[in-house]
Amino acid sequence: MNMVKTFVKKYWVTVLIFAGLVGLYYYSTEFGNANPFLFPKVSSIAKVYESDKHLMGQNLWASFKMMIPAVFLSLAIALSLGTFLGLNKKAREALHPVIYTFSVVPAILLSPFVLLMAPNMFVASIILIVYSTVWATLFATITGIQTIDKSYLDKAATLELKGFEKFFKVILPAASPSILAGFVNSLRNTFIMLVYAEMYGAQYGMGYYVKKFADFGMYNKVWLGFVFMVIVMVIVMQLFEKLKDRLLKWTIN
Amino acid sequence: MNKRIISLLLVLVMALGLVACGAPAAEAPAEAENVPMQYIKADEAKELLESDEYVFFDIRKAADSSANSIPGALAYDMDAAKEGDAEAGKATMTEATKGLDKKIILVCYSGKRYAQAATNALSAIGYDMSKVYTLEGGFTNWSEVLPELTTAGPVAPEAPAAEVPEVSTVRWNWGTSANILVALAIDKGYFAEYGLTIEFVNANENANAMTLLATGQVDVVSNSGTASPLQNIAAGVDMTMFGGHMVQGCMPVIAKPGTEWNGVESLVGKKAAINPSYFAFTGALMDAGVEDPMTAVNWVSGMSYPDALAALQRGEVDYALMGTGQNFQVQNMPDIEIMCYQGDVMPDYSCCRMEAPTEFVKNNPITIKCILKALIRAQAYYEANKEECVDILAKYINADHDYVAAYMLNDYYKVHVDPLANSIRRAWNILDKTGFLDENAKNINIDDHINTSIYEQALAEAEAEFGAGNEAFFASLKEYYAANNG
Repeated sequence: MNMVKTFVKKYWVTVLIFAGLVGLYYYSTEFGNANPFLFPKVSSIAKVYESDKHLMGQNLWASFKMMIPAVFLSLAIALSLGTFLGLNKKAREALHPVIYTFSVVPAILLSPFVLLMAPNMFVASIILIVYSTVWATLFATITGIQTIDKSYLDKAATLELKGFEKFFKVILPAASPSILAGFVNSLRNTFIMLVYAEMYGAQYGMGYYVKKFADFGMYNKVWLGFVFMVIVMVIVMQLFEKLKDRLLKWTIN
Repeated sequence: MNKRIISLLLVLVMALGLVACGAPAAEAPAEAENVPMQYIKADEAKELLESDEYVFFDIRKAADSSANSIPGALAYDMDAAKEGDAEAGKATMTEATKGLDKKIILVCYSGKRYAQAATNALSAIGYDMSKVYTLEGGFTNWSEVLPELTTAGPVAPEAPAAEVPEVSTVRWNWGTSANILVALAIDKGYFAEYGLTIEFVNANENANAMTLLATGQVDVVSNSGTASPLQNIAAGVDMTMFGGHMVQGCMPVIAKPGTEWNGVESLVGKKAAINPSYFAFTGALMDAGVEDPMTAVNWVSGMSYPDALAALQRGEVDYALMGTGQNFQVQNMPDIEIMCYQGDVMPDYSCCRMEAPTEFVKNNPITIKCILKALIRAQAYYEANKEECVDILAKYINADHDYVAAYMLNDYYKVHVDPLANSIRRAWNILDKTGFLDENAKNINIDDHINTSIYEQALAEAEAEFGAGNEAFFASLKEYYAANNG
C-alpha cells in the first residue's frame, strides 16, 4: 500500500503527461484533421495489437539478443579507448582528429560496407549498433578522466595506489559521473539504431517490426511497434537510472 | 471654233459622266435580284450543332474550310459563285441539296458575299428559302467567340491568353530520380507557354512526398509510385490521380550468375529482397496461381538498394530488386546477373502515377489540363529525341550521360502521360488482397480518385494545337488511352 502511495506521489505528473498525449492523439484522429495515413485511429492500432500481440514478446527477445552484446561491446571499447586517451595526452592529441572523423560517418552510408564485410548479418547488425553508440560514452570517458579533480590523484599518490588498483579505485569512480552521463546517451541511441540495424535478415525485433511496416505503408503496425518499443525503452532506462543512482551514491545528489 | 470645241468637250464630259453613272446603274438590276438573307446568331447556331434538323454548309474557299471549320459542317466552295459565276453556284448547291430536307445554316467568312451568292443559288434552284439561314458574322466571328467549337481548336499562340490556369505556380515533387517529361517541359518552355511555372519541393522518400501532398505543401507528386498514393487514398487521404510519369520503371531483378529464373514463380520459397507492397510481384504470383504470395516468398524488405545488393553478393538473399537508378551499376558488375525486369513480371504495371489533392484538381482543372498538355508535348519531343533527353535529365539530376543512358535507352523504361486507370484499379485490387490497404478501403470507390477526363480533353486540345506533323504520335496516344482507360 505504501509503495503504491509513493509511486503515485512520484509519478502522477508523468502519468498525466502520457495520458494527455494519448488523449491528444485520440482526439486529433477521431475529431481533428490528422493525416489518416500516418495517424491511424486508436481502434485500428488496437485491432492490430490483437492480431500481433504474440509477436511482441518475440520481438523483444530478438532485440535484446542483439542489444545486450552490442551494449557491452560498445561499453568495453569506449572505456578502454577512453581511459587510454584520457590518461595519455600525446595519444589524445594525435588521435582526436581520427576519432572525430570516424564518429561522423552516418550509419546509413556505412551499412552496405558493413554488410559486405561482416561474417554474417547478425554481426553486421551488432557492428552498426556499436558503431553508432560508442561515441557518446567514449567522449564522455575521455572528458571524465581528463577532468578528474587533481586532489583525488594526489591522495592516490599519497596512498601509493598504482596500476589496476589506482584505475578501479580512483580513476574510474572519479570519472564515473561523466561516463554514466555519456552512457545514457549511448543506451538511448541503441534503441534508435535498432530500427535500422535490425533490418538485415531479421524475422523478429522491435526495430525490425517498426521499419518493415513503415516500408509497407502500414502505419497502424508502425505505431503499435513504436509504442511497444517506447515502453520497453522507458523501463530499461528507469532501471538504468536506479543503477546509476546506486553507483553515484557518493556524489552530492 | 472655240465654241465648237467647248461644246464637244461638254458632250464628252457628259458622255463620260453617263458612263460613270452607268456602272452602278448597270449592276442595279443584279442587286435587285439578291434574295434577302435571314440571319442566325453564333450562340443560337451553337445549340443546333447536334440537331438532326439542321445542317451547316461551310461555303468558304476549300483551302480555308479544310484548315479550320465548324465541327460537322459540310464544305461547298462557293468562291466561283461569289465571283459572279451564278451557274457554278447553282450547280454546287444542286449537288449539295440532292435529297436534302433540312434547314441549312450557311457559314462564310463574315456572313455577307459568299452567303449571298449561296442564298441566291439556293433560291434559283427552288430550295425552300424559309429553311435557309446565314451565320451572322460568319466563321470569323464564330472562331472568336467559340474557339473550342472549331475543328482546329483555338489557334495555338492565342491559347494561353484564352485560357489562363487558375494557379500559375505549381509546387512539384519528383523524388530524387526526376522526371524527364517535366524537365523537358521546363527546358523547352512548354510550361511557360501555358503560363505555368514549376517550383520544386524536395522529399527523398515516398512517405514524405505523400505527406507533403496531404498537408498541402506540394501540389503535384509524380515519382512516388502507385502503391504509396493508393495506400494513402485507402487510409482516407483525399487525392486524385490524373496522369502518369512512368508506365514501367527499368527495375532489374538480380541474382548471382547461374541462378535459375523461370518467371515470377521462381521466387516461391526463396529469399527475395523485394518490398511486397510493389504489387507487380504479388499480383503476378497470384495470376500464376500462388494463393498467398505474402507467405509463399520470404520477402526481405526494408533494405536500401545498396544494402540489398550487398546482401545478395553475400548470398544472404537469393534475389533482389534494384531501382531504375541502379542499372548502370548492376549492368557493369561481373558477379551479378539480371534475371528479368519488373516490366517482365507485370507489363505496364503503372509504376509512377501523377497525383494531386482532389481539392486541387477540382479547383484548378485548367491548370491540370495545361500541365498535361505541356507534358504530352514533352512526350512527343522525348519519343523523337531520346538521345538528347538523356543529357537533359543527366543535367537535372547532376549525373553523367552513361548513368542515365543505362536506363533511359533501355526498352523497359517506358514514359507516358496517360493516367492508366485500368492499371490503377488492378493495383488497388492486388494491394487489397495482399493486405496492404487500410480497412477503410472498403468504403472507397477508387474510381472517385482517378480522373481521366482532363487527360482526354488535354489530349484532344494538344492534338488540335500541335497535331500537324505528329499524326502518328497522337494516333498512338489515342489508341493507348482507349486500351488503358475503360
